[in-house]
Amino acid sequence: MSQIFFNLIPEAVFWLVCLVVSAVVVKSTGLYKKPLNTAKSSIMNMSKKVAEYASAKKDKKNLLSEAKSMSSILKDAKKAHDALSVHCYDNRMDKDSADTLKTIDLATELLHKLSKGVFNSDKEYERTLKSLVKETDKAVKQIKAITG
Amino acid sequence: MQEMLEQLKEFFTKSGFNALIMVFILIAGLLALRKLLLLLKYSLITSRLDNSLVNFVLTAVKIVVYTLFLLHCMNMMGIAITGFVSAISAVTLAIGLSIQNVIASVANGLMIVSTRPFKVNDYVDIDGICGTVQEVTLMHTILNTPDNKHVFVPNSKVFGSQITNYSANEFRRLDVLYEVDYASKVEKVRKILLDYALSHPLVLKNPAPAVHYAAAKDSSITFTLRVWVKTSDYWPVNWDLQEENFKNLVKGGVNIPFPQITLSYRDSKKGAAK
Repeated sequence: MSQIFFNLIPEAVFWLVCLVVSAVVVKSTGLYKKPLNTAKSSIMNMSKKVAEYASAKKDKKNLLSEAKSMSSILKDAKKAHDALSVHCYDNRMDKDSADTLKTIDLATELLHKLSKGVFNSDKEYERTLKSLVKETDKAVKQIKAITG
Repeated sequence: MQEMLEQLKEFFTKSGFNALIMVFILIAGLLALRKLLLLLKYSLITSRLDNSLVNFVLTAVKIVVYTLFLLHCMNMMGIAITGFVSAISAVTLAIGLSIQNVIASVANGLMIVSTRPFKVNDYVDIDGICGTVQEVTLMHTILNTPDNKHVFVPNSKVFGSQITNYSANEFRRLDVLYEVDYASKVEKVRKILLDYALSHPLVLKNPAPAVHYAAAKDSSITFTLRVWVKTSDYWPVNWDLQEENFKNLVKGGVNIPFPQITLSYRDSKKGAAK
């Protein structure tokens, strides 16, 4: 019986550690229970940073900070995409969230285009930047309409 | 099986504290596995995999993981699982033989999600059954028909049938046939059909719409109007072209014939046809 006891203790510790670690990791993703809240905060952050980026671009600020802000916006966009994807998976009939996800994906595409920086003309660049601001604002409106 | 149950009973009645730890392991293990499966679910969803594939993988992994955990726990309690595993194998074999179709469906489901001839929300025709793909489960592919019916098509049938995916490409060619009177002027008919097609906002300008003299039939000449449209606009454009061009042809003085037969008879006295 004691043999079983000594086998069980490490096993119990192992599963306890597994439980704690997995719970912490799941919570850190921000996707458990309320992914829409995570999506909302990410989209709001993204919108703020996009507005800052667009105005900095107007003022022709330095490229280093631009790169930093771009990667930060992309991170927010990915977080919003992940949260909305999880929500849409669990609520397949929620068309509004699916539309918001599409808007975020479109904005992400524009962000990638801007970060690559390959444009035929300044006009094309400005048009892309304008579209990004427009799509981000649209996403903010959509997520606000969903979460209230 | 009986022996195993007795071992289980003995473990819980005689081992006291060990039984408590075992219960703790069971609860903690199941909760930890649930969280880990949740993480797997998140990573699958965020990896932009198709939802049908996510469903399929999650269900399969869940079954395997929970079965292995259960066997592991039994092993820890000192219960000989070799007998249990053999029993499972025997039962699986027996069930497998009796439900070959079910297993074929599961295997074909795996093939469907790996080869991906369609994805969720695609409009498909599977062996004559048309509908939008709702979900690919272990056993069935669920289609939602245009008249809002759920059709459960067994995966074995899906994989063995010809599948037409109407949503695979962004654009589709729409062919509309018009039958006009033999007295109609070809150029006039062509102009009427083309003018409306070119003015339609949902018809693509490139490739440009075209009208072809398709056939000379018994009572009519057939023209084909070919236009390119976005896949999502296929039916609205089709209805518009059918109806509006019919009106335009009538307005333009082009007759739409009905089936008619011209009879001639032979005069028996003179031997000539009249």
